[in-house]
Amino acid sequence: MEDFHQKPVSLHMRYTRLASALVVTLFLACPVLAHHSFAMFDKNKVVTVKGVVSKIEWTNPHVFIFLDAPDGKGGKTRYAVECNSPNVLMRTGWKFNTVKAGDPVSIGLYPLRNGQPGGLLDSVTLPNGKTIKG
Amino acid sequence: MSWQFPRVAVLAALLLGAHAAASGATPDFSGTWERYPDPYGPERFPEDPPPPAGGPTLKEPYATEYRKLNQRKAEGMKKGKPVADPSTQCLPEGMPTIMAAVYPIELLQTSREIVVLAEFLTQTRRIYLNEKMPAVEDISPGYNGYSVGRWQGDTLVVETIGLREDVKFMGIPRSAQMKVTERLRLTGPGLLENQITIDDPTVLAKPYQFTFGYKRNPEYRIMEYICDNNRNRFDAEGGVSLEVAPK
Repeated sequence: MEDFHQKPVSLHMRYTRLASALVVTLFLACPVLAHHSFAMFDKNKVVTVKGVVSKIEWTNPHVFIFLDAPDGKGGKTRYAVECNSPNVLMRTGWKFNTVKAGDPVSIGLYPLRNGQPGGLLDSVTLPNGKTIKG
Repeated sequence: MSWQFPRVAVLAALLLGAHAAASGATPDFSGTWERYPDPYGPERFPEDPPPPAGGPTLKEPYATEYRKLNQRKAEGMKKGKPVADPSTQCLPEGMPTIMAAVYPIELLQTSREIVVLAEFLTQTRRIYLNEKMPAVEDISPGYNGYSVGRWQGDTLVVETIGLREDVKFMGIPRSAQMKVTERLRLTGPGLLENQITIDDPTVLAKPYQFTFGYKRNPEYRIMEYICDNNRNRFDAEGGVSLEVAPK
Protein backbone atom coordinates (compact mmCIF):
# COMPACT_ATOMS: atom_id res chain seq x y z
CA MET A 1 0.00 0.00 0.00
CA GLU A 2 1.73 3.08 -1.20
CA ASP A 3 0.32 5.36 1.46
CA PHE A 4 1.81 3.21 4.11
CA HIS A 5 5.08 3.39 5.85
CA GLN A 6 7.40 0.56 6.44
CA LYS A 7 5.85 -2.64 7.43
CA PRO A 8 5.86 -3.07 11.17
CA VAL A 9 7.04 -6.40 12.37
CA SER A 10 4.21 -8.38 13.87
CA LEU A 11 3.57 -7.56 17.47
CA HIS A 12 2.81 -11.18 18.08
CA MET A 13 6.54 -11.35 18.44
CA ARG A 14 6.81 -9.47 21.65
CA TYR A 15 10.48 -8.91 22.06
CA THR A 16 10.44 -6.89 25.19
CA ARG A 17 13.43 -8.64 26.64
CA LEU A 18 16.09 -6.83 24.73
CA ALA A 19 18.97 -9.04 25.69
CA SER A 20 17.44 -12.09 24.11
CA ALA A 21 15.85 -10.04 21.37
CA LEU A 22 19.15 -9.19 19.75
CA VAL A 23 19.77 -12.88 19.29
CA VAL A 24 16.20 -13.65 18.28
CA THR A 25 16.32 -10.92 15.69
CA LEU A 26 18.68 -12.97 13.60
CA PHE A 27 15.86 -15.39 12.88
CA LEU A 28 13.17 -12.83 12.21
CA ALA A 29 11.95 -11.53 8.96
CA CYS A 30 12.30 -7.79 9.39
CA PRO A 31 10.34 -6.35 6.54
CA VAL A 32 11.33 -2.92 5.38
CA LEU A 33 8.83 -1.32 3.07
CA ALA A 34 10.03 2.23 3.02
CA HIS A 35 7.20 4.71 2.94
CA HIS A 36 8.65 6.07 -0.26
CA SER A 37 8.71 2.45 -1.38
CA PHE A 38 11.77 0.35 -1.98
CA ALA A 39 12.17 1.70 -5.50
CA MET A 40 15.09 4.03 -4.69
CA PHE A 41 17.25 1.08 -3.68
CA ASP A 42 18.62 -1.93 -5.54
CA LYS A 43 17.02 -4.78 -3.67
CA ASN A 44 18.91 -7.41 -5.65
CA LYS A 45 22.28 -6.45 -4.22
CA VAL A 46 23.73 -6.14 -0.72
CA VAL A 47 26.97 -4.16 -0.45
CA THR A 48 29.11 -4.45 2.66
CA VAL A 49 30.69 -1.25 3.94
CA LYS A 50 33.11 -1.12 6.88
CA GLY A 51 33.68 2.14 8.66
CA VAL A 52 33.05 4.26 11.71
CA VAL A 53 29.68 5.68 12.61
CA SER A 54 29.94 9.46 12.43
CA LYS A 55 26.34 10.16 13.41
CA ILE A 56 23.05 8.45 14.08
CA GLU A 57 19.70 10.16 13.66
CA TRP A 58 17.20 8.22 15.81
CA THR A 59 14.22 9.92 14.21
CA ASN A 60 11.07 9.40 12.16
CA PRO A 61 10.17 8.51 9.55
CA HIS A 62 13.52 6.71 9.37
CA VAL A 63 16.56 6.16 11.49
CA PHE A 64 19.73 7.17 9.62
CA ILE A 65 23.23 5.92 10.28
CA PHE A 66 26.04 7.95 8.73
CA LEU A 67 29.08 5.83 8.16
CA ASP A 68 32.57 7.10 7.26
CA ALA A 69 34.41 4.50 5.22
CA PRO A 70 37.84 4.67 3.56
CA ASP A 71 37.49 5.62 -0.11
CA GLY A 72 40.68 3.79 -1.13
CA LYS A 73 42.41 7.07 -2.03
CA GLY A 74 43.40 8.10 1.44
CA GLY A 75 40.15 9.88 2.08
CA LYS A 76 36.72 8.95 3.38
CA THR A 77 33.29 8.53 1.91
CA ARG A 78 30.26 9.24 4.04
CA TYR A 79 27.43 6.78 3.51
CA ALA A 80 23.84 7.62 4.47
CA VAL A 81 22.19 4.41 5.59
CA GLU A 82 18.43 4.48 5.87
CA CYS A 83 16.94 2.16 8.48
CA ASN A 84 13.44 1.34 9.59
CA SER A 85 11.55 3.66 11.96
CA PRO A 86 12.60 3.70 15.63
CA ASN A 87 9.36 1.91 16.60
CA VAL A 88 9.81 -0.93 14.16
CA LEU A 89 13.47 -1.32 15.13
CA MET A 90 12.54 -1.36 18.82
CA ARG A 91 9.93 -4.03 18.18
CA THR A 92 12.71 -6.20 16.80
CA GLY A 93 14.96 -5.60 19.77
CA TRP A 94 16.94 -2.47 18.93
CA LYS A 95 17.53 0.31 21.42
CA PHE A 96 18.25 3.93 20.62
CA ASN A 97 21.89 3.33 21.53
CA THR A 98 22.40 -0.04 19.84
CA VAL A 99 24.49 1.84 17.26
CA LYS A 100 26.43 4.88 18.48
CA ALA A 101 28.64 7.56 16.99
CA GLY A 102 32.22 6.36 17.10
CA ASP A 103 31.35 2.68 16.76
CA PRO A 104 33.39 0.72 14.21
CA VAL A 105 30.80 -1.33 12.37
CA SER A 106 30.26 -3.32 9.22
CA ILE A 107 27.02 -2.57 7.41
CA GLY A 108 25.27 -4.52 4.71
CA LEU A 109 23.13 -2.21 2.62
CA TYR A 110 20.96 -2.23 -0.47
CA PRO A 111 22.61 0.59 -2.46
CA LEU A 112 20.84 3.66 -3.79
CA ARG A 113 20.07 3.18 -7.47
CA ASN A 114 21.10 6.76 -8.33
CA GLY A 115 24.72 6.05 -7.38
CA GLN A 116 24.90 8.30 -4.35
CA PRO A 117 26.80 6.88 -1.36
CA GLY A 118 24.08 5.34 0.70
CA GLY A 119 21.42 2.71 0.85
CA LEU A 120 18.92 0.85 2.91
CA LEU A 121 20.14 -1.11 5.91
CA ASP A 122 20.10 -4.88 5.62
CA SER A 123 22.20 -5.70 8.67
CA VAL A 124 24.84 -4.25 10.91
CA THR A 125 27.68 -6.05 12.67
CA LEU A 126 28.27 -4.30 15.98
CA PRO A 127 31.65 -3.80 17.71
CA ASN A 128 30.84 -6.81 19.94
CA GLY A 129 30.64 -9.01 16.86
CA LYS A 130 26.88 -9.46 16.87
CA THR A 131 25.06 -9.01 13.59
CA ILE A 132 21.53 -7.65 13.72
CA LYS A 133 19.02 -7.08 10.98
CA GLY A 134 17.68 -3.63 10.21
CA MET B 1 -24.22 -27.20 54.03
CA SER B 2 -21.60 -24.50 53.80
CA TRP B 3 -19.83 -26.35 50.98
CA GLN B 4 -22.80 -25.68 48.78
CA PHE B 5 -22.45 -21.96 48.92
CA PRO B 6 -19.47 -21.59 46.64
CA ARG B 7 -21.05 -23.89 44.08
CA VAL B 8 -24.25 -21.90 44.13
CA ALA B 9 -22.30 -18.67 43.86
CA VAL B 10 -20.29 -19.96 40.92
CA LEU B 11 -23.44 -21.19 39.19
CA ALA B 12 -25.14 -17.86 39.76
CA ALA B 13 -22.14 -15.98 38.44
CA LEU B 14 -22.06 -18.15 35.33
CA LEU B 15 -25.75 -17.62 34.74
CA LEU B 16 -25.42 -13.88 35.25
CA GLY B 17 -22.49 -13.80 32.88
CA ALA B 18 -24.44 -15.69 30.26
CA HIS B 19 -27.36 -13.38 30.81
CA ALA B 20 -25.18 -10.30 30.38
CA ALA B 21 -23.86 -11.66 27.08
CA ALA B 22 -27.30 -12.63 25.85
CA SER B 23 -28.84 -9.30 26.81
CA GLY B 24 -26.21 -7.42 24.82
CA ALA B 25 -24.03 -5.79 27.44
CA THR B 26 -21.93 -3.19 25.65
CA PRO B 27 -18.75 -4.78 24.28
CA ASP B 28 -15.49 -3.17 25.30
CA PHE B 29 -13.14 -2.37 22.43
CA SER B 30 -10.61 -0.66 24.68
CA GLY B 31 -7.09 -1.88 24.15
CA THR B 32 -4.26 -2.02 21.67
CA TRP B 33 -4.91 -3.68 18.34
CA GLU B 34 -2.83 -4.70 15.38
CA ARG B 35 -4.02 -5.64 11.91
CA TYR B 36 -4.86 -9.29 11.58
CA PRO B 37 -4.33 -11.03 9.32
CA ASP B 38 -1.24 -9.03 8.40
CA PRO B 39 -1.93 -7.45 4.99
CA TYR B 40 1.75 -7.49 4.07
CA GLY B 41 2.62 -11.15 4.55
CA PRO B 42 6.05 -12.47 5.50
CA GLU B 43 8.04 -10.81 2.71
CA ARG B 44 11.03 -8.73 3.73
CA PHE B 45 10.38 -6.26 0.93
CA PRO B 46 6.68 -6.64 0.24
CA GLU B 47 5.06 -4.95 -2.68
CA ASP B 48 2.36 -2.46 -1.86
CA PRO B 49 -0.79 -4.46 -1.16
CA PRO B 50 -3.54 -3.80 -3.68
CA PRO B 51 -6.67 -1.92 -2.56
CA PRO B 52 -8.85 -4.24 -0.45
CA ALA B 53 -11.71 -6.24 -1.97
CA GLY B 54 -10.50 -5.73 -5.52
CA GLY B 55 -10.63 -1.93 -5.36
CA PRO B 56 -13.45 0.53 -5.97
CA THR B 57 -15.78 0.71 -8.96
CA LEU B 58 -15.39 4.30 -10.12
CA LYS B 59 -17.44 6.44 -12.46
CA GLU B 60 -15.82 8.47 -15.21
CA PRO B 61 -13.79 10.63 -15.28
CA TYR B 62 -12.59 9.34 -11.90
CA ALA B 63 -11.86 5.85 -13.17
CA THR B 64 -9.47 7.26 -15.80
CA GLU B 65 -7.89 9.61 -13.25
CA TYR B 66 -7.25 6.72 -10.85
CA ARG B 67 -5.88 4.47 -13.59
CA LYS B 68 -3.45 7.18 -14.71
CA LEU B 69 -2.25 7.69 -11.14
CA ASN B 70 -1.57 3.98 -10.79
CA GLN B 71 0.33 4.01 -14.09
CA ARG B 72 2.47 6.93 -12.89
CA LYS B 73 3.16 5.06 -9.65
CA ALA B 74 4.21 1.91 -11.51
CA GLU B 75 6.50 3.89 -13.84
CA GLY B 76 8.05 5.70 -10.86
CA MET B 77 8.80 2.40 -9.19
CA LYS B 78 10.54 1.15 -12.33
CA LYS B 79 12.62 4.31 -12.64
CA GLY B 80 13.67 4.24 -9.00
CA LYS B 81 11.86 7.50 -8.35
CA PRO B 82 8.58 6.62 -6.64
CA VAL B 83 5.63 9.02 -6.76
CA ALA B 84 5.10 10.96 -3.53
CA ASP B 85 2.05 10.17 -1.44
CA PRO B 86 0.78 11.71 1.79
CA SER B 87 2.75 9.50 4.14
CA THR B 88 5.92 10.11 2.13
CA GLN B 89 5.40 13.70 3.18
CA CYS B 90 4.62 12.83 6.82
CA LEU B 91 1.01 13.96 6.35
CA PRO B 92 -1.75 12.35 8.44
CA GLU B 93 -3.52 9.39 6.89
CA GLY B 94 -7.13 10.43 7.41
CA MET B 95 -10.21 8.23 7.19
CA PRO B 96 -10.46 5.41 6.43
CA THR B 97 -6.69 4.92 6.02
CA ILE B 98 -6.01 5.41 9.75
CA MET B 99 -8.14 2.31 10.44
CA ALA B 100 -5.83 0.22 8.25
CA ALA B 101 -3.51 0.32 11.28
CA VAL B 102 -0.21 0.04 9.47
CA TYR B 103 1.23 0.52 12.95
CA PRO B 104 -0.85 -0.56 15.96
CA ILE B 105 -3.86 1.46 17.13
CA GLU B 106 -5.22 1.89 20.63
CA LEU B 107 -8.95 2.29 21.29
CA LEU B 108 -10.15 4.06 24.42
CA GLN B 109 -13.85 3.58 25.05
CA THR B 110 -16.12 5.53 27.37
CA SER B 111 -19.90 5.85 27.42
CA ARG B 112 -19.63 9.07 25.42
CA GLU B 113 -16.87 8.49 22.91
CA ILE B 114 -14.30 6.12 21.48
CA VAL B 115 -10.87 7.54 20.82
CA VAL B 116 -8.57 5.96 18.25
CA LEU B 117 -4.90 6.57 18.93
CA ALA B 118 -2.70 5.52 16.04
CA GLU B 119 0.97 4.92 16.69
CA PHE B 120 1.89 5.92 13.15
CA LEU B 121 2.30 9.72 13.15
CA THR B 122 0.78 9.90 16.67
CA GLN B 123 -2.67 10.46 15.17
CA THR B 124 -5.93 10.90 17.10
CA ARG B 125 -9.45 10.18 15.90
CA ARG B 126 -12.65 10.69 17.95
CA ILE B 127 -15.95 8.85 17.54
CA TYR B 128 -18.82 10.49 19.43
CA LEU B 129 -21.44 8.06 20.70
CA ASN B 130 -25.20 8.49 20.45
CA GLU B 131 -25.03 12.02 19.12
CA LYS B 132 -26.84 13.63 16.25
CA MET B 133 -24.73 13.92 13.11
CA PRO B 134 -24.32 17.55 12.05
CA ALA B 135 -25.14 18.52 8.47
CA VAL B 136 -22.11 18.19 6.22
CA GLU B 137 -22.32 21.93 5.52
CA ASP B 138 -21.70 22.55 9.21
CA ILE B 139 -18.56 20.40 9.46
CA SER B 140 -15.14 21.84 8.80
CA PRO B 141 -13.61 19.30 6.40
CA GLY B 142 -10.82 17.35 8.04
CA TYR B 143 -8.53 14.38 7.72
CA ASN B 144 -10.68 12.16 9.95
CA GLY B 145 -13.97 13.99 9.44
CA TYR B 146 -16.75 13.89 12.01
CA SER B 147 -17.68 10.47 13.37
CA VAL B 148 -20.82 9.46 15.23
CA GLY B 149 -21.35 5.94 16.54
CA ARG B 150 -24.31 4.05 17.94
CA TRP B 151 -24.65 0.52 19.23
CA GLN B 152 -26.80 -1.95 17.33
CA GLY B 153 -26.70 -5.01 19.55
CA ASP B 154 -23.08 -6.10 19.73
CA THR B 155 -22.10 -3.96 16.74
CA LEU B 156 -20.93 -0.36 16.84
CA VAL B 157 -22.09 1.41 13.71
CA VAL B 158 -20.01 4.52 13.00
CA GLU B 159 -20.76 7.04 10.32
CA THR B 160 -18.16 9.56 9.20
CA ILE B 161 -18.64 12.58 6.97
CA GLY B 162 -16.90 15.94 6.63
CA LEU B 163 -13.79 14.44 5.02
CA ARG B 164 -11.35 16.49 2.99
CA GLU B 165 -11.58 15.73 -0.72
CA ASP B 166 -7.82 15.88 -1.18
CA VAL B 167 -7.00 13.34 1.56
CA LYS B 168 -7.35 10.05 -0.26
CA PHE B 169 -7.41 6.39 0.66
CA MET B 170 -4.82 4.67 -1.56
CA GLY B 171 -5.16 7.48 -4.08
CA ILE B 172 -8.84 6.75 -4.74
CA PRO B 173 -10.75 9.86 -5.89
CA ARG B 174 -13.54 11.12 -3.63
CA SER B 175 -16.03 13.95 -3.31
CA ALA B 176 -16.92 16.16 -0.35
CA GLN B 177 -20.12 14.10 0.01
CA MET B 178 -18.29 10.87 0.75
CA LYS B 179 -19.60 8.91 3.72
CA VAL B 180 -17.77 6.13 5.51
CA THR B 181 -19.79 3.62 7.53
CA GLU B 182 -18.01 1.22 9.85
CA ARG B 183 -19.53 -1.79 11.55
CA LEU B 184 -17.25 -2.84 14.40
CA ARG B 185 -17.78 -5.98 16.43
CA LEU B 186 -15.83 -8.52 18.42
CA THR B 187 -15.73 -11.76 16.44
CA GLY B 188 -13.83 -13.95 18.91
CA PRO B 189 -11.48 -13.76 21.86
CA GLY B 190 -9.22 -10.78 21.17
CA LEU B 191 -10.52 -10.32 17.64
CA LEU B 192 -12.18 -7.21 16.25
CA GLU B 193 -13.72 -6.79 12.82
CA ASN B 194 -14.37 -3.53 10.99
CA GLN B 195 -16.65 -3.78 7.96
CA ILE B 196 -16.20 -0.56 6.04
CA THR B 197 -18.56 0.83 3.41
CA ILE B 198 -17.70 3.94 1.43
CA ASP B 199 -20.67 5.70 -0.16
CA ASP B 200 -19.91 8.42 -2.66
CA PRO B 201 -22.48 8.52 -5.49
CA THR B 202 -20.61 11.31 -7.29
CA VAL B 203 -17.47 9.21 -7.69
CA LEU B 204 -18.37 5.58 -7.06
CA ALA B 205 -20.58 3.52 -9.35
CA LYS B 206 -21.49 1.44 -6.30
CA PRO B 207 -20.56 1.52 -2.60
CA TYR B 208 -17.03 0.28 -1.91
CA GLN B 209 -16.99 -2.37 0.83
CA PHE B 210 -14.09 -4.09 2.53
CA THR B 211 -13.12 -5.43 5.95
CA PHE B 212 -10.19 -4.76 8.25
CA GLY B 213 -9.54 -7.27 11.02
CA TYR B 214 -7.56 -6.65 14.19
CA LYS B 215 -6.02 -8.73 16.95
CA ARG B 216 -5.72 -7.47 20.51
CA ASN B 217 -2.22 -7.17 21.91
CA PRO B 218 -2.51 -6.53 25.66
CA GLU B 219 1.25 -6.38 26.18
CA TYR B 220 2.13 -3.72 23.64
CA ARG B 221 2.34 -0.03 24.51
CA ILE B 222 1.90 2.53 21.77
CA MET B 223 5.07 4.54 21.22
CA GLU B 224 5.69 8.08 20.05
CA TYR B 225 6.05 8.73 16.33
CA ILE B 226 6.85 12.31 15.39
CA CYS B 227 7.80 12.62 11.75
CA ASP B 228 10.31 15.48 12.04
CA ASN B 229 13.27 14.24 10.02
CA ASN B 230 11.92 13.61 6.56
CA ARG B 231 14.80 13.11 4.17
CA ASN B 232 12.55 12.59 1.17
CA ARG B 233 12.91 15.32 -1.42
CA PHE B 234 10.29 15.93 -4.08
CA ASP B 235 10.77 17.06 -7.67
CA ALA B 236 8.28 19.02 -9.76
CA GLU B 237 6.61 15.81 -10.94
CA GLY B 238 6.18 14.51 -7.40
CA GLY B 239 9.07 12.05 -7.73
CA VAL B 240 10.89 11.20 -4.51
CA SER B 241 14.61 11.06 -3.88
CA LEU B 242 16.67 10.83 -0.71
CA GLU B 243 18.64 13.65 0.93
CA VAL B 244 21.87 11.95 1.95
CA ALA B 245 23.73 14.83 3.64
CA PRO B 246 23.65 14.69 7.45
CA LYS B 247 22.04 17.60 9.25
